[in-house]
Amino acid sequence: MSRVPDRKSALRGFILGTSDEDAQRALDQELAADGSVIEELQVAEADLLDAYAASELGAIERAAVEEIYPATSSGRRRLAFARALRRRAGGDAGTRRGAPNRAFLAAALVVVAVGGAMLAWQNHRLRRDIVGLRMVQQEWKRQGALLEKQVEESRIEITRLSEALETAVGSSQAAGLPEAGAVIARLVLRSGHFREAGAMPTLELTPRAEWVELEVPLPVERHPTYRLVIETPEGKLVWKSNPIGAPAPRTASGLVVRVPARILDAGTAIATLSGCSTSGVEEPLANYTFRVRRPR
Amino acid sequence: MSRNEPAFEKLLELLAPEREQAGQRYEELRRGLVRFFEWRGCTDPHTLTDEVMDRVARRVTEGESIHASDPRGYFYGVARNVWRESVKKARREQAVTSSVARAARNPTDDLDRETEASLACLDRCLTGLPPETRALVLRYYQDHGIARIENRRRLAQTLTIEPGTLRIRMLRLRDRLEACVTRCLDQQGVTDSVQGSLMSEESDS
Repeated sequence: MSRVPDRKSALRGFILGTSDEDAQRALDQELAADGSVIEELQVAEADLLDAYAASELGAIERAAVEEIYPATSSGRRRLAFARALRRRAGGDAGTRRGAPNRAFLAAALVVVAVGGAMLAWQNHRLRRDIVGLRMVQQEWKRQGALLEKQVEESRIEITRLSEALETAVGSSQAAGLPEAGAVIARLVLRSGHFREAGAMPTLELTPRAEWVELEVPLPVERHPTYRLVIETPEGKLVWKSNPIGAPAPRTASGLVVRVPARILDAGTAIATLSGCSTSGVEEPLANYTFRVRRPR
Repeated sequence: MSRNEPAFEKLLELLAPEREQAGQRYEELRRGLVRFFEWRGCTDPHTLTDEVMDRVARRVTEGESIHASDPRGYFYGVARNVWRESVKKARREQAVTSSVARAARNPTDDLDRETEASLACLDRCLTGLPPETRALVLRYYQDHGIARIENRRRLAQTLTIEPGTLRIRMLRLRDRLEACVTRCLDQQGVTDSVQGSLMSEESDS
């Protein structure tokens, strides 16, 4: 008489992993020798889960069920299914009226169509494909992250180069690149007011002069870019540079701006140097007055 | 995979000479293997089951003969090896595995939610059954303790079958119903995308 409870305990112990190693191994061997044991185990599991759902398990088995089944999604579903089935069957007392007849039972127990097996097999293959695809996806993600990093680095480099290029272009546009052999006049500007006309820096422009290089002292506080504007004393705009990149701090003390000689008429001119912040705000820094002379 | 895929055909031949019966056994075997791994606390029983199927299919395709009165035992022997390997692998990746296990072992809050979702799906699946089958299921699973045992004994008597036979048949019916519920949950996107057996409950109706 004690065999049935022992067997039931052994099966439940095997399912819940609570049996000792010898009992576990014995059932493993039994299972390998006789595959039908799995049905016995499955029936035992269904009973176990039903008992759990009906709150009929002892504390140890209950704890084991709550330890094992929620740990996997399929186990959790099985447990949830047992609880749902229990609730539905328990709540449907009305369905007890009369047992189903044998014909109905026969209809109820109609066996599985083979299409189900095909679906299960396809499911198996698909699942394996999904595992493979997930690995590929992870590799792609890794490479994608690497590429994103490279793209970001490239973007930073491009931004840096673009700024440098813009600055260089600005400088060259501001000055205009003189052709080889062009005649260039040069004047160093000084800030301040000049009471005597003779003390004012003067630019002698011969008819052959094509370009003028104006060297403007820079203030101590440096700006990323500068702009030079030349006006008449009456405030009429004569010339305006594009943004000019700041010279390297250690290599230049002043900013050299190339101006086309033709735009400078004889007379007094005022050059205003502005510093441009990174946000594009221009701040006037200094005015330089100089005289242009064009010998006849 | 097409119906005549050699590996699958070989597997079916191994399980039973008659094709329909072999298909049924294949499904049962899969469910059994999934449980086998679950009982051992494996967090991904479906993948390990796939591995068992792949190994056996490969061996059979390569010409290995399996001499066993019940070939299912052979699958469980392979499953035991797969499980041992997974344990070794898990030990090697202990840090990762333990973190995964920790993450996986905190789903108790999900259980109530999943039970509610299962109940809704179960109602749908029961509706898809013939009325007599639905009544049979609900009657089989009602009552508590001694009353339930007595109820099932009377049910077997009414149907003039052995209680053990009734248990096995009800197990298959329950598996079918559970597969329907699993599919329903998958369709609703409840919990993660674990795919249980995709058997069709329409085959019951």
